[in-house]
Amino acid sequence: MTREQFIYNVQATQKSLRTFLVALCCGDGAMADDIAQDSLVKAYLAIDSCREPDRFKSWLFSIAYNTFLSMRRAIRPVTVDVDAASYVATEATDGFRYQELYMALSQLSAKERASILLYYLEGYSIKEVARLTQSTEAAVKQHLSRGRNHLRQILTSQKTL
Amino acid sequence: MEQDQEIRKLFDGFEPTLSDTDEFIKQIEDDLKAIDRVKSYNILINRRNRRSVVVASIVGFAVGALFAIFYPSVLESISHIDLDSNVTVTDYAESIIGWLIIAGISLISAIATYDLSRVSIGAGTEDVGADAHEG
Repeated sequence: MTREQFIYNVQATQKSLRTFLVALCCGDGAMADDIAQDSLVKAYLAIDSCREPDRFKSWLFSIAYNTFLSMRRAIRPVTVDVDAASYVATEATDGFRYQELYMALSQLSAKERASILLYYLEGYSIKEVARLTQSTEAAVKQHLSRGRNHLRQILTSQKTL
Repeated sequence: MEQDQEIRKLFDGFEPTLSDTDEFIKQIEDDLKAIDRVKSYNILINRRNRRSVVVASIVGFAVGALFAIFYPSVLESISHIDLDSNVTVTDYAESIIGWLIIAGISLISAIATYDLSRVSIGAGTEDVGADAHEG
């Protein structure tokens, strides 16, 4: 794959990749952009390992998820509180709009969050989520179930406050 | 199932504000160009190193062969070295010393050639970045 082809593919997938990463970083747009840039550089360096160009998007998501995990380990845990959500988001209105969602997501474990986002936001199947997150289908089902319960509890408690 | 719908609703129309797309793509393009430049530079350096190793081996071998041809005269010159009267050098030791000298000279010639060839072959490649392959 040439550089031009790679950029063409990136242009087609960048929006969903960045949306996924913003949600994964609980609204931290700057961190999401850093991870996206890092992931794309890694992907370009490892372009020979992308044997199925049709699966470019899921391959990129897998790299992005791994980059997120290593960056998270290296920097700090992602936590969002009510005040932080308004300034970490790309725009104040954006932080306000999705404040509750980011707060709820921040309380899930990274694996739960990734599984929930890949399944509900990106529409990947359980099998694909398992492949992307390098875990088993049973583990993904468990993460989804726990994530769903956590999200529901958190959002319900937020509404009752 | 109901829970599933609830969660699905959460992400319905989820469109966070992203930073400027053109800027993002431009940044990526710049990064990828830089990667290509480094890749081409590394390829060039590796090629140059291989060439230098070949040239150095040939020169080292030639110097060694040349000295081997003149080995008897080398041996003779060693035997003329004025040693302390109580030191006796056997023929075997003389021969070993002779070959060691030849090996040393060959090695030094090879190393010097390697360094010189790297400098000379490398001349004019400073602008390798500009020649980085496009794609």
